[in-house]
Amino acid sequence: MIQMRHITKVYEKGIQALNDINAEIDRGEVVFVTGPSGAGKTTFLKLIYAEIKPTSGLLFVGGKNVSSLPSRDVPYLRRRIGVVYQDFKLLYQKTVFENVAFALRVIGLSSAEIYKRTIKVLNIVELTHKKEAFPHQLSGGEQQRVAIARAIVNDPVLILADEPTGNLDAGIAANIMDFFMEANRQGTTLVIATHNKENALKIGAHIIHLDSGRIVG
Amino acid sequence: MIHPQTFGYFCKEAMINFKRAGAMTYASIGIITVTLFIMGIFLLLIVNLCLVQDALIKKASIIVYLKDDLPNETIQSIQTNISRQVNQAGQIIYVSKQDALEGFKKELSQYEDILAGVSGNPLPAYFEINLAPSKMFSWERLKNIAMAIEEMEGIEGVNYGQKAVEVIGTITDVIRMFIIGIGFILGLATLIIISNTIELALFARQQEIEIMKLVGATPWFIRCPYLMEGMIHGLISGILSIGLLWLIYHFGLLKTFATNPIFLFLPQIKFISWQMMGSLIVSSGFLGCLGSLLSLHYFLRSNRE
Repeated sequence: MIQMRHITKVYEKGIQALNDINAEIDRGEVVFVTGPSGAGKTTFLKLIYAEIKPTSGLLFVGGKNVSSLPSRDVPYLRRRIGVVYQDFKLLYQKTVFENVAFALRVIGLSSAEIYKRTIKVLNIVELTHKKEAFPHQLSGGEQQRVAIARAIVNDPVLILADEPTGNLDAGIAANIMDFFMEANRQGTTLVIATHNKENALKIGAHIIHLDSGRIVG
Repeated sequence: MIHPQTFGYFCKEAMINFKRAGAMTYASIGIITVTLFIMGIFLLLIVNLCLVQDALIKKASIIVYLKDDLPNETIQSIQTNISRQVNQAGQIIYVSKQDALEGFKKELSQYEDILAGVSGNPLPAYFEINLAPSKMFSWERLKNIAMAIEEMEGIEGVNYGQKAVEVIGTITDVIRMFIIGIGFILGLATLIIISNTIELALFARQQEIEIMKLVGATPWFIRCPYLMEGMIHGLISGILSIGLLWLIYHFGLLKTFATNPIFLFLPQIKFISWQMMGSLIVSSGFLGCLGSLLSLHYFLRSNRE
C-alpha cells in the first residue's frame, strides 16, 4: 500500500523533519508511527496524503508515485484516503450530518446517495441521534467520532490519524480505537501517529518509531 | 462530471457567503455601483452627442439670408443662380420675411413672453437649400456651394452649420477616448474591490477550504461558489447603476431638457440602448468573476513544497 524509499524532508530554513526514511506498509495493515514531539510523525502523514512533497526519495501510495504527483491529481488521491486529526477539524457552523456529508458533497455525489452513505456511517460511529447537533454541542469523544465518520464515509482504502486520541481521556480513547479497529477489520489500512506506544503494543501492531526524523525501531 | 444537485449546492453556498460578508458586501456593491454609474453617465453623454451629430447631418442645409427690400426680379435671379450651383441635387425653398416670422412664432408658441419682446419683423427672408440625402455627402461640397452663393449680389449671409457639427464631432471623439481610459481605470477599480471582498470571505472560511482540500475537492469545486459570489456582486452593481442612471435621466435630465428653452433645438435626449445596458451588466458580472478568480488564484495556490 505505501512504500517509502530514502525519503528526506527538509523544510524552509533547513529544518530537517525526516531523514532517509525507508518503510513499507501493506494493504490491510495497522501501523503506529510513534515518537516524541518533533520526531517527524506529522510530516510522515502529510507526505502520504500529499500535503507536502519530499525533498528527496520516492514515495508510492497505492502504486502511485506521490513524490512527483501533479497538483491536479492530488484531490483524486485524497478521495481514497481518510484523515483524522487530534483537533478534529470540524466545521462548527455545520451540523454533524453536514460535516460528514461534506466529504461526499465535494466529490459531486447526488443528494440521495449522500444521505444514504452519511446515515450509514453515522450508524457505525453511533451518532445518528445527534445528526442535527452542531459540533460545539458534542463532547470531545463525539466530535472525534464525527471526524472518523467523515474519514470513512468515502470508503477509503487508507486511514491516516494524527494523534486521534491525544485530547481524550482513556475510556473515550479506547472507544475511538475500537472504531478504527472496526474499519481495519473491513479491510482499511490504518496509519496512526501517536506519541505513546501503549495502544500499539496492546494490539501488537507494526510500529515505526521515529526520533529526530529517523526510524529508530 | 458534476451532478446537477452540486450546482444547487454552489448557488446555496454563494448566497451564504454573500450574506455572511454583511457590511463588506454592501460596501463593495455600493462602490462598484457608483463606479459603473460614472461609466454610465459617460455612455449617456456619448449616446446623445451622437444623436445631435446625426440630427445635424440629416438636416444638412444651407440657409441663404437675403438683404431686406430686394426686388422680386433679384430674388428670382438669386434662386436661378442657386439652382445652378446646387445642380438639382437638392430642394430650394424660399421663405419670405413674413413666413420667417410666422415660423418663428409657431416654434416658440410656448414662450409667449419671449415673443412679446419682439417688435416689427427683425427676420430676413431666406432660401433654405436642403441637399438630397446621399452617401456622397461631404461637408467640403456643402462649404464650396455656400461660399459660391455668398459671393452673389443681394446676399446678407450664409449659414451652413459646419462649425457645430465639427465641434460636436471633436467632443464625441474626445469623450470616446475618455471613456476608454476611464473604463479601464474604473474596471480595474471594480476588479480590485471585488477581489478584496472575496479575499476577506476566503480568509473567513480558510478552515473550511482546508477541509475541502483534505477530503478531495478539486480547485474548481472550491472556486465555483466564490466565482458565483463575485458574479452576483458584479451583476447587482450593474443593475443598480443602471437603475440609478435611469432615475437621474428620467427625473433630472429629461425634465431639464423638456422645460429649458436652451435645449429646444436639440433632439429629444435618449437613454442608453438595451444593448448597452446588457453589456454594462454582463461586463460587470464578468469583472466580478475575474476579481474572484484573482483572489482565488493566490489563495488556492498549491503550497506543496
